[in-house]
Amino acid sequence: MRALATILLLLALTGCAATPPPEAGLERLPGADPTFGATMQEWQNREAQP
Amino acid sequence: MSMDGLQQAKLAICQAVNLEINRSVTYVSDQAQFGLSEYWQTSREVFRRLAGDCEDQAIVKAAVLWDQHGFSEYELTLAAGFALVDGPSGGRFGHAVALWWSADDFLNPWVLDNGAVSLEVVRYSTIRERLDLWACCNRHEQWRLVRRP
Repeated sequence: MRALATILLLLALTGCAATPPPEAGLERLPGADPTFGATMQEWQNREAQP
Repeated sequence: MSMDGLQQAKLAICQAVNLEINRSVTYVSDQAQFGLSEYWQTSREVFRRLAGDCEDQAIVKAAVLWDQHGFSEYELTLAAGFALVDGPSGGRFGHAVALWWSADDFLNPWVLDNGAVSLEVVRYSTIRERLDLWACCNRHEQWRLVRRP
């Protein structure tokens, strides 16, 4: 129980985990992207609804 | 850079969540459940139905890690691409997983899969020849993977 509490405290203190840096090999994907971008954006829109 | 205690703890949480969601959310194809070739359920829909395909299982894993375990939306993302499976029923098919971008190696995230490629939470590099991820997203942004391990 104490170990779990420690883990949760550590996670709370470091909840601002680093953004993947450019060297992570990511680039912005437009919502109109025909492969996965449009599907992802459509899901994001529905997920954001209350 | 090796994983410190915090990263080890986060990996243990990822492993537990991956195992629990793979057990709890029954795999049902979008065609069988919705009559559609592709439909990404919201996390609320998956929690209600406890059924879905690969991206739905990944969505619930991400939601649990974001909302219940304090993972940021930049260290934990969804990812989509293609899986390659050997054998008579094998081939290339669309697939989705959750990724944990551990701070020790941002180029080589941990993959939370439903067993299509791996039941264990493993580094992307270890299954790279069987999993070709193209894009990832959180609830607000999306990216193309331009470099892979």
